[in-house]
Amino acid sequence: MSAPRTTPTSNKHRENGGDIAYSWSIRERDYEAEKANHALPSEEVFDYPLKPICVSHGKIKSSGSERASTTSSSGASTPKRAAATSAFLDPLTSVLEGMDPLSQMAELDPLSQMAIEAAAGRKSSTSLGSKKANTLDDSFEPWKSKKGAILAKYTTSEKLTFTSFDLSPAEKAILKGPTSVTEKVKNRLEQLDDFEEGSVKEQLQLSQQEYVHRIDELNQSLLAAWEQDQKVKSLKIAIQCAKLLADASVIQFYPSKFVLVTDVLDTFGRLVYERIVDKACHVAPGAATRPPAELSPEHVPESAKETCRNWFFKIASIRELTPRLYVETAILRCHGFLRADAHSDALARLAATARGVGDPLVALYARAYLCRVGMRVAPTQRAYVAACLRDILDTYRQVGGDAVQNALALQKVDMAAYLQLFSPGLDWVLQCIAHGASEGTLEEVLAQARARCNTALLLNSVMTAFRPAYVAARARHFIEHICDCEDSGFPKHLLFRTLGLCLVVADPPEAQVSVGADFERQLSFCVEARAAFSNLEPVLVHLVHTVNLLAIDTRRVVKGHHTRKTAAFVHACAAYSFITIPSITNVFLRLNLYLVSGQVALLNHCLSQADSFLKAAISLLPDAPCSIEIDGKLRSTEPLLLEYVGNLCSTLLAAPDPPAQPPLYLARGLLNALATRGAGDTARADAYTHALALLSAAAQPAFAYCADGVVANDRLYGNDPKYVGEVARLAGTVLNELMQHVHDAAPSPDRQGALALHLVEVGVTHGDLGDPRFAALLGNLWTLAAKQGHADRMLMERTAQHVKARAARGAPVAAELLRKLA
Amino acid sequence: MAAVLDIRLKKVNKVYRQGDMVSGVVVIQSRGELSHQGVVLTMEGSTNLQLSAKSVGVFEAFYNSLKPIQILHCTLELAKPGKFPSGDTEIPFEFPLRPKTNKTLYETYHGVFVNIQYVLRCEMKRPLLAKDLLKTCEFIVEYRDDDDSTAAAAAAQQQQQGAPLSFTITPESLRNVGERERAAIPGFAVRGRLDSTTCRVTRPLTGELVVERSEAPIKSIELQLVRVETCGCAEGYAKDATEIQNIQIGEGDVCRGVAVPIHMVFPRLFTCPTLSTNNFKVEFEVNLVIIFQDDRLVTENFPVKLTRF
Repeated sequence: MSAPRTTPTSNKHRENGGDIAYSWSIRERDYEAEKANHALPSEEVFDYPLKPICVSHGKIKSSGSERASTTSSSGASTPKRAAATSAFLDPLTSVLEGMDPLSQMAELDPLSQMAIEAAAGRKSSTSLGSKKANTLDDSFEPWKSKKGAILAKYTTSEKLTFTSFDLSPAEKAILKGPTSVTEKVKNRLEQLDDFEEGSVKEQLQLSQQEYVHRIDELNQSLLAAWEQDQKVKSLKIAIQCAKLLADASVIQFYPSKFVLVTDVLDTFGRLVYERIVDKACHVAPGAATRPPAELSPEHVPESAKETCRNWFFKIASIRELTPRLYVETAILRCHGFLRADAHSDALARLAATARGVGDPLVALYARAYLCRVGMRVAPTQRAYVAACLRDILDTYRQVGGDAVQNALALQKVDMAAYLQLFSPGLDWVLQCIAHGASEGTLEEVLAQARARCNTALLLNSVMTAFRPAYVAARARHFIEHICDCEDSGFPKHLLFRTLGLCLVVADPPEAQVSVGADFERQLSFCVEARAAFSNLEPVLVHLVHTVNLLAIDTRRVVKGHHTRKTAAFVHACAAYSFITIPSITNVFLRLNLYLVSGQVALLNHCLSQADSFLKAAISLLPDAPCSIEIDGKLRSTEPLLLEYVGNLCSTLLAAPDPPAQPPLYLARGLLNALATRGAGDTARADAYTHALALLSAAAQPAFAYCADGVVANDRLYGNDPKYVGEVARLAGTVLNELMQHVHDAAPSPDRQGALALHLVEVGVTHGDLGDPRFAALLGNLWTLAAKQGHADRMLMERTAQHVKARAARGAPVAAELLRKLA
Repeated sequence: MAAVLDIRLKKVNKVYRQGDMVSGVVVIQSRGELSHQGVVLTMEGSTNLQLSAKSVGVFEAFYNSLKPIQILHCTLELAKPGKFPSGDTEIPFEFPLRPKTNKTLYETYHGVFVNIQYVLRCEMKRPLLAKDLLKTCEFIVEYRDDDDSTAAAAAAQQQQQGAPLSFTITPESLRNVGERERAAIPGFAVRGRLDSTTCRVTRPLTGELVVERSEAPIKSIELQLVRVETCGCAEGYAKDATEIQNIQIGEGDVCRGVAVPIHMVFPRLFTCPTLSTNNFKVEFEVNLVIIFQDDRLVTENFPVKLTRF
């Protein structure tokens, strides 16, 4: 026995409430006065108060960047910074300085800045030719930042063939020590031949991990050989690595293999280059050591040039095409020792050489490597990149050739997966073209692509490589392109994904002020998209949000005053959402979308549409499951549902009753919907308390808020006693229902205590504590909560304090209640 | 008491032309005093011909090695008998590079059957019981732009040969194939050109080719550089061809209709300007080899003339 049983109370608003055991006595509230009462004292200031006062503009920037770089190191600050800034650093201050945090992130802490400058200094000082033009600015996304993603994406569980060579005979030969120059060269060439022709030691079948490990070993032995001055062996290792790229078996691993192998080749290229720089700077006989800055070809001593030529001759005699192409590309930079303008010739020649590679994937990656090295060595050169792209377009048909088709069939790789292997390489080539290119160039590339090789693969890479702003500005064109191009197996949804990624970074063009073609075309695009992706739930959700946003944007454009045309448009938006939402299966997604769309409709004065949305939401409520599976675990939806009902109630307050419907028609519907949820639903009782709050607010003469320009129930009924009475009656019914719940919860003291306390809270907030009967009810509930002992003590204490404070300010509070709370 | 003798040429790449001064220093490194019977430096150049066993038989090949023909010989006495002090002693020298009368300075060339070599030989005679010291140093001779006789003499001809050479290879263009076999060859057509069949040895062989069609898939397209040495013209000659370089220019089933560049760098030391004398000839050919997937291959031969300038 624990439920409080008090005698039925009369209700001052009630006309015919005889059947009600309890009544909800609503306190009339003056929201404006309350707001003024609760507001903190404020004063006008001219400076942002949280900004550290002692720091100048420049300092803030640097401290901001420092912060950006030390975020991971648990904020250990340098003494300098501690002195420069106050103890409290508000992260928003930096934003106020007119710099967005992202560009600050791009800045570096002083130490790494110095390191980079030093490295750049060394590079540019040793680079040949003009220095300024020879550096790429930051807007060029470096290869380094792409490697990780490629390695993570292109993996395989198949066994990989690793052809290993016996490198030891070479050492023996070297030890023999040939005498004349000729013999030495002969000897070396023979070694190379040896290695190329016969001395294959073993063919290993390795797992991916072992394979990666092998390549790493090769890298190590390359460095070791170089250390020991075994240049021929180093070259052999480089060739062996490059040979791996001629092999396109286990094709799905190829892009990753490219990443790994070209790392080794880069190392090789760097070693050779540095060796010659070394020679050029320090071996000049008799002459003083020349600072590397002066290393233009005419300053390179003949001995260094000779070394350089030797490398080129050796590499030119590599028998196989792919390794020769890769290894020469690796040491491309050395051409600068011989002739200042040699890079452009070499780049053009190597680009053409790649045409001899029959396998389209191998050829593409060879070109990507050329562009990679080319961008580093001669960033101003672009002709060869354009040639590479032209060749890619010209040879694209190889993809459909017998050789490829047979290989794919053999390896059981489908066309879509195969084409995606091209993306990283193609992205890179296009990025090189797009970097710093004029709009005209980009248009040209696009036109060329459309005219010669209108494939989804290429278009995807174009969108990846070009500046997102460029793509976004032509979003509609790209959509047309996407629709037009032939997919030949490359999935088109990837194209939309790439386009989407661009639009995330850069906004499509702002719609014009007049609601004209742009808005309507956006809507019609959404209609098309809905048709295209009818089975993709996230897309549909996004589309509904997009259309809602469109309606809100329209509202903003017309500043809340719709013309006939704009009104028709927002009606259409509402209709779109209303039609789209039902095809989503997830109930919670649907509930939220109905609510949001209802809010949007309300804001746009589409009252009947808003009504329909809210009605749909309410009628869907009974279908909301009690538990859903999240990450494989069954979880109760109670918190979700409660939050949703709260949100819904808040919206219902602003929604006026439709004509020809009884007052509070929607609220009633909500109560009914809640009632139909199973009795075992613990959320129901708590949801009722939300409804009580709604009803209390709905009885006020002036509501706390309303939708701009929409007449809510307060002004609709003008505080008519009949309406107020109806609200109170409804509140009474809810209260009784709740009391029943409190009663029924007796077997679970915890639950009962919590429920009673919750009810007290709502009563204290919204109820008329001056009404002795109501106060008595609250007092009983309070006692019950206290008795159950498991209610939140802190909360009770604060509630008691609040009531006392209110009484102290002169608000009417029944003495009985105050006594109980004490 | 080890003494070391060394020849250091002034030019790092050791390449000289007729009329140049071959100059440098002979370095004698010695710990302690070194007595000697004189130091002599010799500059020599000679042509060595070897008959191939394949052409004339093993026996003859062994005996009939033709006598080396000396084309250059100068001697310089660097030091009269005496003593060198402890430490490094550098003795500078220079020779004008001129052939013996009635001889021509051919370019340095190392082949299988023909060798043209130039060396500096420094010899230090030592007193009894001590070993004589000897050091040789090869240097390279290249033509001046006016003494490449072949190029100069055939200027007009070169003009003609300098023009691009176009070619088309089809089953029909093949020689040494019987009619019945020809019919069995899968159809193909490879069209292309060499920019010139007269090439400077310092410049690559260039051109391009297009596989217009090929019924059978292609495995590889290669350029083979072949050297043809001919010895002993007077009393019946021996001719030998050796591959000196093979470069792949097409790998796999190359894209039809796309121009694949022909590009081959001539290897140093194994090539020299095409040479034709009374006693021997050194000539070069390029074979374009198309290998099909079934390992069938088609070869097109192009004689090329190499020049220094």
